[in-house]
Amino acid sequence: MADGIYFVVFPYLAFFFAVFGGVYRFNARRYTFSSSSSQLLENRALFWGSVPWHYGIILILLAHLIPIIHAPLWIWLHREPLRMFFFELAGAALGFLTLLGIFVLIARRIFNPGARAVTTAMDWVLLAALALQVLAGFYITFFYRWGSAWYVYTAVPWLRSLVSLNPHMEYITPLPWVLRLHAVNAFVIIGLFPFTRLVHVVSVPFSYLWRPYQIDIGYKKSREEGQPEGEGISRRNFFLKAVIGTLSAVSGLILLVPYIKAIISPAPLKKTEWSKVGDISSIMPQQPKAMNFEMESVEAYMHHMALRSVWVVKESGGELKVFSPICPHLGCHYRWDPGTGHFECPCHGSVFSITGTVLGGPAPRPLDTLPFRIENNILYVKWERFEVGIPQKVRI
Amino acid sequence: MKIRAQVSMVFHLDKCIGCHTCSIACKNLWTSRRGTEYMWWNNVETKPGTGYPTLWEDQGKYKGGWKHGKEKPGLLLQGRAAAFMNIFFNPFLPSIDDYYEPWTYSYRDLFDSPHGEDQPVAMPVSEITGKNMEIEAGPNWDDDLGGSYIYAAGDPNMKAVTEEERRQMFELERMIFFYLPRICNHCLNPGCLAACPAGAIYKRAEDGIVLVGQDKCRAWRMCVSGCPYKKVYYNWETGKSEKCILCYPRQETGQPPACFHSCVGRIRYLGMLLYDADRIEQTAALPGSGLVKGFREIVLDPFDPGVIKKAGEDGVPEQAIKAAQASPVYKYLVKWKLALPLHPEFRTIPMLFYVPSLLPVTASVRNGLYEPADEFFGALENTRVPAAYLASLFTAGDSSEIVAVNKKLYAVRLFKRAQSVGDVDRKKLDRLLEEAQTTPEEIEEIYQMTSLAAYRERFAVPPFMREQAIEAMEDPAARKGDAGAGFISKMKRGW
Repeated sequence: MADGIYFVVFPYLAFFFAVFGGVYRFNARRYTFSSSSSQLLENRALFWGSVPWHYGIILILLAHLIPIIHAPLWIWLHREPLRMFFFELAGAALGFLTLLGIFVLIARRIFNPGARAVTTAMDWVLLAALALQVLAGFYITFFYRWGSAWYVYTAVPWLRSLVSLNPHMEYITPLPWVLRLHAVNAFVIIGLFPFTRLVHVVSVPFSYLWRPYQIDIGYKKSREEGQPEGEGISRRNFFLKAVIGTLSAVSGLILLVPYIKAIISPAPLKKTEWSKVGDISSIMPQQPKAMNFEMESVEAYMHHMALRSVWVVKESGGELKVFSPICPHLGCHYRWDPGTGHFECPCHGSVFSITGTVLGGPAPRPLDTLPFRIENNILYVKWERFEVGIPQKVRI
Repeated sequence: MKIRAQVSMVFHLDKCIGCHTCSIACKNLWTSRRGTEYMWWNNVETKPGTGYPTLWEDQGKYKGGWKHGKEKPGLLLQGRAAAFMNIFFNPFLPSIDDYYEPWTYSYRDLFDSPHGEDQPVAMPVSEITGKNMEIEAGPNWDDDLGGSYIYAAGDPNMKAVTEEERRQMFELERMIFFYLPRICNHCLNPGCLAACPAGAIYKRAEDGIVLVGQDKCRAWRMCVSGCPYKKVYYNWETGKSEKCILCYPRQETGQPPACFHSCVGRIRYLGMLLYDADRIEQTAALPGSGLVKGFREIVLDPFDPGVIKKAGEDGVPEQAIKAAQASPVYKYLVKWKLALPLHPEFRTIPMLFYVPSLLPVTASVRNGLYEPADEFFGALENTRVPAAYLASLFTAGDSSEIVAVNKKLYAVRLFKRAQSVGDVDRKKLDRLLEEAQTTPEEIEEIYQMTSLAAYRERFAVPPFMREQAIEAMEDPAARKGDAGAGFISKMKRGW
């Protein structure tokens, strides 16, 4: 459960904070969008902090991003030993760079009175989170020598499953705690985005590459139309806010749908697709066999692998029957008694024949059969449940 | 041709007494907030001197202004892609020590100190860190220190003068200095604007005032370096750049900027100019010796019917054209050719012009006796501030422009002396008028504007052109404590 919070709920929460917090801050408090540079007050140590930090972290983030977008490229890059060696070395060097950078950045804020004077509480929180992240990343690089290709098979599927709204945390939960810390802390930093100076990362001024050197801002059109300029602005502001508000509400609702569904009908929503059960070639006629299989169920955004079983019976004619393992009386699991050649329910003593007919006991109807199909001797079953205690077979 | 209007300025240096009233008026109105204590949107420097921030004219150090000689215009500071390389650390940014660390005194200690044998002392306390500090520099630290081997000798313009002139300028009893009040030049081709990666800085089309869009500024700090005059300042508290706004809230209510209004020596003139925006690039690319002339030529005659018609078509309001006709700046700059731009070689086309100080040798001390100079032409050519020095400041090194301005100023001075004292030789005066290419009528006009002009003649502020702007209806003092006069929203540092 805790893992579900750390690796499924929290990432989404952090992402929501980042997006909606960021949009809100941009609209309501745009004046506070700034990189809040302290270079004016301290510009010697800053060079040794800011430059290695930014160059290092940008490339490292890129290296984390490429496999998520296009894993085969990353795998290809690490296939040749020489190439892999180069990338591993470059990664380690960049790690050193970021470590040096963050160390200097923190040190100058501690020891330089000018830089300290303009350091807010959130700056310290952010610096701590970043330092923790870099240290964890650094530790992983040097003490878990799996090579960076492992990332493609662990964190990448997890991140991709998060992106595709189909979270699979089982890729990340068995990893060592440092790795899990690194993963969770990454989302801590994403969540911190709207509350810190991190907002400057979405302000990369790309338009400087093509904008004209000079900018004039002239009279507004509305002036000529006799509409007060200020009112035009507030109207535009209102419109902007309305659009953003509506969009946020709609996208929020869409994402909330599964949660609401989960609350309204708490039973796991079952997929009605065919589940693969297994090879049936070894089943002997007149010898029913319980076959277990895994089935995926979805609750809100949480995916569970549920273990199910069915009774498979090969009749003497070679015809196959698949019974639900649930007794139609009150829902117990019945079992096969090879001695008597009957199915018997231990709860209330219902007895069924090998074809499922009621031979005795309180069962109101024969055993429930499930739809199935066979491909290359592999059995596929459509899992269904039925109301118990009534003579009719009614699907739930 | 595309005509635009520009609020422009003339400072008459001969009249500046270096009282710093302008600086104080500005400071009280705009920069008395936390984070802005060190900023002087208006400052008065002593020349020769290193100025504020120290050595601001040295573009080898700060890389302000534009390159020359390239086919395409480019900043000295950065190419467009290079801006991204230096965005994490701007190597050409002045640090707080290049300005000075602002401080106050612990006045409370004077009252709260326990009884003792000694007088309590108010120690200097940094306004940045709140800690006790050693004062190493302050505003106008080099005030009046002409002839100083620390400050005057460090003036980058001193490179222009000869060894002999240099020696004389540091000689006792020949030492010389004059004041240079500086505000933002509200350039036609601003370096700060071109350097801003975020595109936060803009020129208001109706009057050409250069402003920093506070909501768009992301503290990339390139404007501070990009402005060759170092007139954009970084507010270290809010993380936004700020600069002189030419008191546009005052102008919108028909008043001149505070520094103009408060000027004791009445050295300041304000007026509209009409100019051809299509010629900016071409003018900025002129060779050094042609810059002053080019600056005069980009300005259009506001009385020319063709110009008036085109201006109307280009959206220049009628009030602005009328203000341009009444502009004292047009007279000083184009008609009389007395006003010169500060460092035109930075190629930002500044719109603040200076009438240089006329410092002729009118008398000298010989053998302990005070003697008037025997030849006034000789006195003119042998001015106490070498023409080469002034040329380095105002004409990109072209001394002939300086001599021409000096001749005309001297002609005005002697013509009026002949009128009021009557001790000037008539023939010599006629020769001077001829050499200065002026007439008695023009001299009377110059005299009138220089010495007698009333408030409304000096400040031809165009009538309120933002009748419908809601901002102007806000109480300008509403945010004086926390943001500054004229601000409508709070200026608070982000998390």
